[in-house]
Amino acid sequence: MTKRGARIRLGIGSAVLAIMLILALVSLVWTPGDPYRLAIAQRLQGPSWMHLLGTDQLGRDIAAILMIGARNALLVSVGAVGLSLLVGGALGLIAAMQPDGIGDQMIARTSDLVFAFPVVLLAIMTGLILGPGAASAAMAIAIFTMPVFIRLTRDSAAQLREREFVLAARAMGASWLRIAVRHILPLLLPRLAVQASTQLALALLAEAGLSYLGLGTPPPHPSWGRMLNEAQTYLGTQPLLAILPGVAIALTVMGFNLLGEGLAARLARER
Amino acid sequence: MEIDGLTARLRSGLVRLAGLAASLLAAAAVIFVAIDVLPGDPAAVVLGLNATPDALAALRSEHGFDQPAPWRFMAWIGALAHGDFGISTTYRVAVAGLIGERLAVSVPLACLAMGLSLSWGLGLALLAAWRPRFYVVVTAFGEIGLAIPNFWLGLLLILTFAVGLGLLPSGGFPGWEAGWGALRALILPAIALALPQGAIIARLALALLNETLAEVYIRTAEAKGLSRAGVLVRHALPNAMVPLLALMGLQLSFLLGGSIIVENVFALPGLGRLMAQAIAQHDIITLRALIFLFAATILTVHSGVGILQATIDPRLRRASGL
Repeated sequence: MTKRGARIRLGIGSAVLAIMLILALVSLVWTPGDPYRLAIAQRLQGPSWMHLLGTDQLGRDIAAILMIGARNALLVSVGAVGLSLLVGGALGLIAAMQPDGIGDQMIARTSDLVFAFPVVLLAIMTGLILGPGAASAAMAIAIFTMPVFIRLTRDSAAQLREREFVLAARAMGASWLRIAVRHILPLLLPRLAVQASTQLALALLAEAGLSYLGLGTPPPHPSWGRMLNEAQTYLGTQPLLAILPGVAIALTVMGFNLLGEGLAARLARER
Repeated sequence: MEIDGLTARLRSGLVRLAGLAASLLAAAAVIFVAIDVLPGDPAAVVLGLNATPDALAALRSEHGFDQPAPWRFMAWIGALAHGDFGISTTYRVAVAGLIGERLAVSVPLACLAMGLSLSWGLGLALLAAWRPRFYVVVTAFGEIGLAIPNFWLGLLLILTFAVGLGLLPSGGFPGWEAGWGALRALILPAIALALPQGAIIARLALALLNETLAEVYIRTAEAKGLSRAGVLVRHALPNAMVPLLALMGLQLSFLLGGSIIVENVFALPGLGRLMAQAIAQHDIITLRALIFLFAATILTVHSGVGILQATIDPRLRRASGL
């Protein structure tokens, strides 16, 4: 990737994500109309000055529920990837500190096993255990994205482990835990950030799919995936209802992907 | 020497088979714990909160839910080995039969989507490698394909080709007796699955092709006077195929997961639809059979891809130490 390509990607990616984040944050204090108030008389309207993007099948303002949907999508995917990063990173570090140990083997086998379960299947199982809802969707997504973080941390930390500064720290009497946290982890953070951005894109797609199937955020809380499910009945009468939430999902996912690629290119050049 | 190679290959195959068996057993254990043990009394999960004690007791004895969990697990595994998937708690018929009917929709759909995504992905990658000025276009396509959820693409296709143009059905499946009509019903769902999938394949294929194009033997081939297209097809593509094969194997998990959602978008009577119905009706016998079937398919394909790779590329046999 050229330097210009990386800059363009970083620019577009962070701009899109900033807009989504602002919309999500603003929805905490203000939305263009009450997203929970039903007004059946004004259902399925087209865009107007009253309702900039029209109204849905229950007469709610689409712009308002899209904004709250952004909050929900970002919250679930950031929460899931954050959890996955924390647990996966820790497991990867442990595995790297004792290469060829039983723990290392078990972690490798377990992550291979996780690859056999598409995220929908994981969500069905977490839904049965924790009860359906956003929390079990987030848990499924966290499990689904974890093997990538485990592998990345383990492989990168195992490389760094052979370097002289680790030997020096060891000679000064530092424990493995201290070396892992104080000396190796800070060097891994850029790589983990790049990976996290890509995984956030996947997490957002997964959240939308799960909500579409009814395995995510329950009604009446707005979510982009479920909006698409409900819109299917009104494809002939109000196609906007099926287009807008998808555009929101695609833009946000692309934002995370572009950001990740831009960061990766910059990181590769610095090394 | 030849015999040594053969026994080594046989041994590596056996080791892989044993590994596969262990993974299948582990997957079954995970599924059983998640569905039968952790949510609590299976009979209560199936019947819900308002069930009478009599109904609970009847269901328990009918499906063997009154047995201790380890025993139930052994019984399930034993039955699975015989192809017995249990009796659905909602339909009251053998789950194996339900699955069999749906396979006639899901398998053709998955194959169609796989074929489409491979041809469009490889096509785009070859185009960009052949004429660098298409590079930007292909990258943009890839970026968009990566970001579009397949079920939304399905909705857009319905909106355009069914609601708007009236060319193709918006959903449902007439059965294979309908011949062309049945295939028509699978076109839009297959495209919805294949376009995003193809974008991922295109990106990786392009990266792999570029990697091989930088090799010395490519320069030799070009110096001999081979055209760019000839270099691509004769030298770069075969070398990119082995890692691409591994990628396709890993992508299967995404494809199958996606097909669960897309089948529901198009109301296709496949495994994904059966799964959604089983979730809605708390039919845990059908659910655990379906989840095991999906996980087992993915594990088997992963393991098969490993063997295939080792057969195609002898270096991998030595590297794996087997």
